[in-house]
Amino acid sequence: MEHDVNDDLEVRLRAARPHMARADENAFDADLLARVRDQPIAARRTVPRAVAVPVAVGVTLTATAVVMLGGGPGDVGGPSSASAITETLRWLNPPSGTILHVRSVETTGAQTTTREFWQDADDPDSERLRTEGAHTFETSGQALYDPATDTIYDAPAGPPTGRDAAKAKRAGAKVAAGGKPAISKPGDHAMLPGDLVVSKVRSLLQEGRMVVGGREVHDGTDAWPVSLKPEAGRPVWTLWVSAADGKPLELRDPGRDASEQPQVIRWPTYEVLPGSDAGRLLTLTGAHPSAQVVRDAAEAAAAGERLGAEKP
Amino acid sequence: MPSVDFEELYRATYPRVLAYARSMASREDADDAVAEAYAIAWRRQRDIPHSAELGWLIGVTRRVLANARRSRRRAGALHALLDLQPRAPGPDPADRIADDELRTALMALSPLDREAVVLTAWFDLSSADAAQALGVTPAAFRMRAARARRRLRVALTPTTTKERPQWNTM
Repeated sequence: MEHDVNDDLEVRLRAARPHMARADENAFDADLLARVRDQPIAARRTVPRAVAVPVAVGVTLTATAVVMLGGGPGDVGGPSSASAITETLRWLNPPSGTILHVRSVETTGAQTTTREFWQDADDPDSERLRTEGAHTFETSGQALYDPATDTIYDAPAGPPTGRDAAKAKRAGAKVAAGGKPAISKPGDHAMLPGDLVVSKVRSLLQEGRMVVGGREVHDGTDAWPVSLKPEAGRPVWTLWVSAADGKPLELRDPGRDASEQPQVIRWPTYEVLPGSDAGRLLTLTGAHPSAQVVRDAAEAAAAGERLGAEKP
Repeated sequence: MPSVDFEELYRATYPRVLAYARSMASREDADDAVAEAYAIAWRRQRDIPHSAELGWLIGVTRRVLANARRSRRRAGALHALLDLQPRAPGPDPADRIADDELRTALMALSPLDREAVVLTAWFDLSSADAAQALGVTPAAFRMRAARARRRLRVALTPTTTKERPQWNTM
């Protein structure tokens, strides 16, 4: 069903189109096209997986590839080191049909915040996030969980069963089907799952704005340091990844200037779990089946404010 | 083998993908998102649906922008990487239109309903492309678009057509 462009509403809508929404048909960025085409094409992931695929497998391959393809770590200036860096990114893509589980501890000055999340590798918006700091709470979609009172606040505008319940139902259906289909569904664009900091590192690597340093021992662990390039215009921060299995270990950021306190992020957990656990891991009702569920919007808003929860 | 001629696809879609992104975010964020979207498209070109390529690309761009907004909400480390973060919040394009009555009516719609209207009216997406962009089935998209337009028509109907009380003085 296409819309009649002569229809009054259609005419009015089109006339209201803002300037920036009008495409310049001559727009063409040759540099971008060249940069994009410089990247390898990913192999299609076709095998449905109902079992956990250890991140370590991909990472071991990665570390090997760094050495084999690049002759060792180095800057992205040369083609072989660029290939090596591309290979190091593989482990950042959790396999289709799995749940990514990450726990990070962020320290800034005297303040420490622990974040833990479980995320659908195929649908990064489908996740449960636990925050432990001044207050401890969990969020999933619009729903909020207060562990102190074992209460889920879910006052959705959607169907009466609630988004959280719907997600649980979908997750259950996937489990019943023995895992997720390998064929893309509408909206499945394999978008950027993973810890947000780690994802940012991935995109910076892809843009050639980071450099892999020489293998070294970091806090007793054999590791690769991945650092922002000095010419990036800010003090250099570094992410260390395990040389053995590629998991992110620690990020140290000195801050942009003297007014900013240094930050350290550690990842005690970075693992891939079976997609069959989605119903239990991704939703608040699945993770806390005994919790009381409150659907009153005012109570939900008050709880969010009390716990200092970000709006999902 | 790739299922599409990537350069041809790029030339055909880039102007509209860029226009979409710049309508949804600051110029810098939009350009970053478009670059990321085409990088994903290159890596996954075998998965790009035939006859809905533009919708797929706009859907990817939409998700990249959403991820950028999501990461901006996170305090702490990501803010410390500020130089490398989205620079400005993304505007709602419907908020920029000059037709006050239409703007009010559009803003009264849910964000997804509004997008359903905008994707076809402003970016000339077919229903198939728009459905792909929003990650819904074509049937669901048609329902959503029809509902949104019905609500817009109601909101834009002149008030003189509304029922008025009839006072019987007899």
